[in-house]
Amino acid sequence: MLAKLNFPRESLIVAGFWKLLFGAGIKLLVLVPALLLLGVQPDWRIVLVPLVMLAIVLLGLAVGLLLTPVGMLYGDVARALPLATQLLMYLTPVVFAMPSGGVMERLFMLNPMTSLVLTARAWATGMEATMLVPMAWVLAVTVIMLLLGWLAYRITMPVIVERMSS
Amino acid sequence: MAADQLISVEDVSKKFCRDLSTSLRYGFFDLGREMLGKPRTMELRDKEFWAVRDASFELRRGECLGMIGHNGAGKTTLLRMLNGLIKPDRGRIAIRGQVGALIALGAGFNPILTGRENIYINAAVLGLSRKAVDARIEEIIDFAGVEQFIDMPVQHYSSGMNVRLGFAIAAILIEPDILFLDEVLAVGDISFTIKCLNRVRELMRDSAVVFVSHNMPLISSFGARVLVMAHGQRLLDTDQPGVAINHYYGLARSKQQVSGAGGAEVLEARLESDTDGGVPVDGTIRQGGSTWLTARLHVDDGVQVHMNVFVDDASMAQVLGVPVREPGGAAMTLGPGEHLLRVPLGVMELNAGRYSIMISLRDAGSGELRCRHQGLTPFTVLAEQVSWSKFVRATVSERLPL
Repeated sequence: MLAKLNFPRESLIVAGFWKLLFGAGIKLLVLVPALLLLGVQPDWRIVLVPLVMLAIVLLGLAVGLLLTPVGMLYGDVARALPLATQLLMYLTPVVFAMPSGGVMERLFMLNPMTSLVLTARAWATGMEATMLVPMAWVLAVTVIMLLLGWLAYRITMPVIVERMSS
Repeated sequence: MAADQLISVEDVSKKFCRDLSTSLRYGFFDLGREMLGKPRTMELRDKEFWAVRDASFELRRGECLGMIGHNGAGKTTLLRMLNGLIKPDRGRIAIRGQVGALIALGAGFNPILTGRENIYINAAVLGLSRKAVDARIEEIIDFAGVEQFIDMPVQHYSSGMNVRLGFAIAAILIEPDILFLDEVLAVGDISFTIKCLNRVRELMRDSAVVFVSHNMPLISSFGARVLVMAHGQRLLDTDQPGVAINHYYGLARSKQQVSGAGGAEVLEARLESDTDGGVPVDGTIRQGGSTWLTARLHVDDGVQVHMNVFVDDASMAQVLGVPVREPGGAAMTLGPGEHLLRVPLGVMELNAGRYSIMISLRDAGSGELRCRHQGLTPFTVLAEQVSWSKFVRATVSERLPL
């Protein structure tokens, strides 16, 4: 379709974005009762959680956009990405708690997702968020990366289309 | 660019690569160059070739350009560049106005959704809102002629229905300044084709049209101007479709072809004409001259055949049939042995172009095809002017009292 029709290429991104939000929304609907059931007492800050989740989605989108040109050119890259992200997940305090000290802690701290995930978790469970400053930095970089990624996507699309089968 | 000039193409070239992994590597480099804002590499790199080379033309509103050429001549690549899907490596394309393309019809269809739902989706791809479609949906369904199946998933449509719906959506909804057509008029059955042609003619009135087709009658009826392409290059750009089509046909080397059950054969065939002092001019005959075919045939023992001569045009379609008769009117029967015949083909009223002779020998009894010899003595009919018609007969009209 990309090789045959000329339509705003951004529509594909927007469609993916909504798909993700829809999925995340359903998960949130499950999460809130689950939290209450587990006896967690969230306060008003839980309403901020969707915003942080949005930031996570945007960060993913920004990284994705920057990788898209290469990924669309080389199918191998596109296939390797889900695997790589799965590995990266272990550098995020999702399943395992944040290690204290050592190389691992440094690696965790380098992961931009760490501050976002920890903040979201803190606000969802009524605890104090400790990584607001790093998160602000991450957000700023995300915005810049988004713009750059969008630009790259626009510029490189004709190059990609000409290498695709028509 | 002048105000009514909608398309301007200047020395546009595009190269492609023959090898997949090299192509991807070049693509990767090109990505980098593109992002850094560097110009593209102008020269051919290893394993690359020019798919389109130095194409130039301009088109105004109301004009129509037909592109013809062999497969791989670069027609579609040029169209894709015009459509903005890919960028030229060299040269410049300027487009003014809303572009509509009737290419890859039904490409955006989602197979599990119904025809009606797909109309909305496809329209969205074309940039139209739900409301705009609501107003014209009945017209689209009616045009496509799929009323009974409009609420059926399109995966169960026949391929013809699919393309019809695709064409209807695009053709009804777009009102472009510039229209691109790539071999889409050949879809569907004859009644739908006529419908398509009428719609395209309507759209043509106030737009500039570029279209690709292998259907020569269509080219000559649509194309005010014709671009003949071969190997990515422009061979000819003319406003006389007849000239262009003949040129294109001239590119195809006609080959002799013999078929049939055997038992009779054509040994030799040659043409002569009374023009140019009665000398048989090899290869060319002047329009309006009388022409004869001299044929030497051999018929096996126990076989009797009837002879038919045909004049084929460059697309190997028969334009003139000449059954060979006895003076009384019965078919001439040729018995065993060798025969030398001089068959009058009459006045050469054929349109200027390339032709060849076909001789068919059928069994006088069973009617079985003994021998059919195609592509004999290829010849060119010369005329001052190329007509759009198959035959040309200039006449003097009688003046009647009013």
